Amino acid sequence: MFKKNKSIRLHVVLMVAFAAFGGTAFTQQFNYSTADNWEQTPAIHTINPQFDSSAAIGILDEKKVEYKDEGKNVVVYSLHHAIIHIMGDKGIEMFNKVYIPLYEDAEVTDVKARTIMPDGKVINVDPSKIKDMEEDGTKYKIFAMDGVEKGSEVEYSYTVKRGFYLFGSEMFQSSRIPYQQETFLLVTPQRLRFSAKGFNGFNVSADTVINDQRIIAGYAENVPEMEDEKYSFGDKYLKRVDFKFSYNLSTTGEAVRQYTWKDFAKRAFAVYTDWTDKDLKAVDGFIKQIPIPADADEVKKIQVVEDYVKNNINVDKKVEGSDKDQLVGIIKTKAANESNIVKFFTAIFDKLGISYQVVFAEERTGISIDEDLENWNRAEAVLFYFPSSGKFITPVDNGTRYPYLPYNVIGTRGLFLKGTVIGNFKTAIGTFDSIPMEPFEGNAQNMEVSVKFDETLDTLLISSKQIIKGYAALEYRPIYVFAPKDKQDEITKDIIKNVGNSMNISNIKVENTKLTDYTDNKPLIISGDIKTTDLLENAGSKILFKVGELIGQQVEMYQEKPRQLPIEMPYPHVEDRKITIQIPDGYKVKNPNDLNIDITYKENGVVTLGFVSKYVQTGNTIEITINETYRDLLYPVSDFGIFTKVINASADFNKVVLVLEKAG
Amino acid sequence: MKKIFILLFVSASFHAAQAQTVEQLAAQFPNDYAVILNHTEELSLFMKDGKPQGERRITVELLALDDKANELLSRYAVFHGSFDEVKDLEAYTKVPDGNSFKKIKVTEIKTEDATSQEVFYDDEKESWFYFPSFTKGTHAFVSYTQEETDAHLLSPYYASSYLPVVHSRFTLSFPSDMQVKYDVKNDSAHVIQVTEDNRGREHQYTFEASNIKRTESFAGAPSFRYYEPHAIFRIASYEDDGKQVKFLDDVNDLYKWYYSFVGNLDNTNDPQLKSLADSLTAGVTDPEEKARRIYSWVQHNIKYVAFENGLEGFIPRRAATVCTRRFGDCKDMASLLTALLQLSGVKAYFTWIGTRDIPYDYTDVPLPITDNHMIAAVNINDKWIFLDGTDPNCIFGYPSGFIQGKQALVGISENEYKLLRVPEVESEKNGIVDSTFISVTDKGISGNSSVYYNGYFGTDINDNLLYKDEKDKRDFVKSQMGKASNKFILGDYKVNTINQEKQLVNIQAKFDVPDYSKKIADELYINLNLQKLFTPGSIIDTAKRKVGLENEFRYDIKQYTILDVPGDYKVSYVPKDFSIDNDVFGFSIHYTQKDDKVIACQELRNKSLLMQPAQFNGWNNAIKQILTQYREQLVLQKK
Repeated sequence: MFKKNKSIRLHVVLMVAFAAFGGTAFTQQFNYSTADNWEQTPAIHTINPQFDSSAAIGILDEKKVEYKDEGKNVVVYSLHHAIIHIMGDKGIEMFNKVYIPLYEDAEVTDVKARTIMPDGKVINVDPSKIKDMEEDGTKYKIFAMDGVEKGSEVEYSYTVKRGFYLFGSEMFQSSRIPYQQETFLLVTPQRLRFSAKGFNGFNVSADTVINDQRIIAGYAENVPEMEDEKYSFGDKYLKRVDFKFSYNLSTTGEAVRQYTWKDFAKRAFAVYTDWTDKDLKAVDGFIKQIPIPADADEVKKIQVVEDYVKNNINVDKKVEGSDKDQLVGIIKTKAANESNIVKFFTAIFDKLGISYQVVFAEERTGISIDEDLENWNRAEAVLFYFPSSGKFITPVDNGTRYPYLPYNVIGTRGLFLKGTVIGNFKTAIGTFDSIPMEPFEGNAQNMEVSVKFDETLDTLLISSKQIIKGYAALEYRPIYVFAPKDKQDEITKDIIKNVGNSMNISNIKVENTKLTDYTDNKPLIISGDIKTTDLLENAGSKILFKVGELIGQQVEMYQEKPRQLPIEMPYPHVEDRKITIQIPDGYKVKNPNDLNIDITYKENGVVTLGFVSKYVQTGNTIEITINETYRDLLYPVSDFGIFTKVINASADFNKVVLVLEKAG
Repeated sequence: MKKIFILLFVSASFHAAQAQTVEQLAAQFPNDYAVILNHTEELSLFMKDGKPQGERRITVELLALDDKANELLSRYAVFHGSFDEVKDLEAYTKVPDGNSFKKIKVTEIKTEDATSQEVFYDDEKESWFYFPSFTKGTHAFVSYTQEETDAHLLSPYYASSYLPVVHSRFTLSFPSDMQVKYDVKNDSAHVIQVTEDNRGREHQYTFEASNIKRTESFAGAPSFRYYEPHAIFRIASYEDDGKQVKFLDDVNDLYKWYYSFVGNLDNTNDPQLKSLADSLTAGVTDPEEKARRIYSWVQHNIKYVAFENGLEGFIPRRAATVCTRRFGDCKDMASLLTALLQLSGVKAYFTWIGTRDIPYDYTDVPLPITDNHMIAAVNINDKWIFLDGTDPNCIFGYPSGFIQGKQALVGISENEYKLLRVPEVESEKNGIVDSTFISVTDKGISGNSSVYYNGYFGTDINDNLLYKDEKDKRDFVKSQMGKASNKFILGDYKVNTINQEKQLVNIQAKFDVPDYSKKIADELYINLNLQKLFTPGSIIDTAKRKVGLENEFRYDIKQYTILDVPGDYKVSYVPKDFSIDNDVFGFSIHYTQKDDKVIACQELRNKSLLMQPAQFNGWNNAIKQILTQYREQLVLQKK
């Protein structure tokens, strides 16, 4: 399964690269000039007709990152210069306000902004009108652009000064507007050599030395916006450049590549095993409170520890944490940030002699780790791997439990830190490996429904059971743990209502709501009895039974635009449904064959995608079985046709209507 | 004497709270992981620099009823702005430790911007922190002082909060020569107990409430101000230099204050503005036509961007500035509108108004909390027209939908204002007329629809289209025209604006809906109610919902579905006609058979802007009848 995913990914990358190559046949070469591109007398630009239906068009997106010696320090000046041509009201709304997000230590050294009117008149933004703002932990400079109207251009440029940083990334594609010209420059003192790599068709040069400066250039032209698509996580397919510091020619020279993944492993290990004596003493006290059974094996210990910590410690990235003795602070305040909680777990595991590896993984919803261009910032998720069982946990999500991980890290690659001892020195060796998923069959959203008619034949009595397992339960179970009781009841009713489109529900029962039920993948079962009239319609003397609506409204993809991105499922899963219908005495179903649908696709004899529904009639009882299968995490663009057929088969079943006629 | 009284009172309430254990409170509030045990607010008003000001001391004690409170409720935030800056903010928890408690102080308090939605920049701040170890049995305390530097802007007292409130007390103290008035709203159940102490040189009102459930919110409901018990108060007058000075006793006082924000704008004194006004109204003599043109220009050329820093939230910018910048907030648009209109010789005035979120009239509550919006009012031949610059497609002559029925404060001159009632637009003026022609195909149905949108419906369509590029437009049309089932496949379409000024829009679309209609043996069944205006979800859960249901506007919808009966079929069963009418809405379905066509006409007239809970039962009964009616299919029989 994983091999397949990898080859798909390679295929996609090749395709994108090829497309970019095709499009660049007549385009510019790398431009290494560091000159200022802010025109003294700006003019309105010509737009590429292929973009004329956009709300606005990026004429230029210029990013220049310059590392400079200042006294004893190396500081970084990042310039962002953009020119946007406004096509209409939506474009005005998007660009008459500008937000400049700032890093913690960043300082804006220069902001210029102006509106160029269609007649060439220029309105400059008064620097005193630029405001400071801080929200959700991020600081911004914000300002509004004067005079913006259709046909005008918004141009702004700002430089942000930061302390030296090792890893950088600049995005060159957005989901909002297309860009006609995009340029990138990385300028460093000659002795500091960076590695850079363009992704998804963004062209990046090798470095070259010009006047004692080392320069890497990049560009792309006529980059369309990336539209959102159903079943996709698009960020990793956006054009971008990543760069990192690799060699210091005045010290270690060309021979030693710095800040590699190996180095990362060593440093991370040191950070996550750096406990003070006070920390360790406090952890001893904490461990005494964890109800670990005397006969617990290693797996049991892991489960109990995880559950206890997650039930008792609030993890939130905004928690500051103490400067030292962080673990003492965690125990005292019962709160931890995402970094300190990892340290807390490692201390407990160490004390209990549990063998673990810290794993740094990419997130599927974010940008993938590149093993060659070692951008440490891409290792976004921290996980624990347990070699004894081959299973994982996440320390940061209080809604998951062993062995389930949040779906955005399953099927990814990650750097596994294996602890080792060199002399007296403890360190770790990092190796990349896959983070597997729990078996596909265990992820299910099943249903058992039985239906009969009441005497008046205008009401259905439905007994419904929804059975949710594995990753699918990750979306539901937290409701029963965290939501207040009255909200839980409301949501339960809404979930049951999907089956019969009626709020007349009784005998509600919800089973296996505990988070620890993940351990043996006990299904979350939501059941209830529904009385509904909504699934029946009358056609003279016939009864029309909208049987398909029992499975609830389904996602449809009847009318899709040409697909750009591979299909990526939140998690592979199966949906098994069993519907038993008691036909009223004296009636017969005229069109039971409408219940038969079979759309399946196999690879090597195994169904990878499918929707199959069939029925068996015994006397007055019709039993329908439905199996819907999405076995893989990732399907290539070439499978899109097949994929939509399966998705739509389920949406089609939703529209099946049985005609009941008095037998006579 | 009085001090002792307060002390006794405090200790009494403390004991009362002590009497209830965590378990008892958990049983009393089974849906909550924590409660507010005590909320105490002491607002004292005084004179400073010849102006009334206030200081508000707030102390809140929370109690965690469940360990989950640590994860879900430990974050606490205090909101403040430049008129009520916070000082001495302190917080700590008392965590059960054997038979006693262990005190843990909050050490990190972060202050960030808390700019409201729709606003680009303001001075609202949020100071937030986590209560340490907020587990079951833990008491969490927060206290702070707010300096109320402008006594026009005192916020009301609400009994309820985001958690249940076991006990809450608000005390208002003021010098005996100050006159303070209060008004308790939405409290027929007498939740708020008021005591007055008028002895001595300091007077005092105390508002108290106990055992209040957490504030509920409901979909489609008017704002909490319509139903949560609260007390509003105002300084009517104060003494300065031995003379009684009116402050906010009535609308005159409020207007005087408001006028100070617009009186000195010198708004029409700008040659560029004058030439813009002239060019927009060149050759026009009719004042209404002038107003139309100017309104349309402002609607289409000035974008909504709001800066509300301190008094900036009250003072409109000069019209000439707004014009150059091409953006502004409601006040700025009102400023530009009045200036351009006045320059064209139209009688136009700054007007303050509350949106429908706010239930008060100025005559009842002459306070800034009664409004949150500004528009321009024009008087043409003794007829008043309200012009809201913030709605780019509002029809000239219609108020914007969210100010219908509200009381407007129109500033005529320094000493003259008018209080006018904004009209509510009748349902006939907001219509959808949908004519959909369908025929049966091998796969389902195929058809074309032509839909006219009128009044606020037209405004909505144009507001939506305004911010869509070509690619988004198709998706919008599909969602707008979609009917029969989600298998609706949109074909060619056209969006025509029939009359820009009246916002009359027509959308035409071809479509197919596979799997709609059913052929079995010799029969064909089809439900001609392609769009069901009500669903089982329309039924209101009267056990839970105690709050009214709001409509943006009154409207009429007419849907004609015209079926071409296939040549080889004849009609064998036509559902019966149906109609129902009550004080909230009227509805009917009417079938007509004509030549080889069957026409189903569905009509809905929505008569209410705000349906009251007393009307829910009538509504539910009507909906049930309609749902039964919607289940009726037309039957065709092979000839």
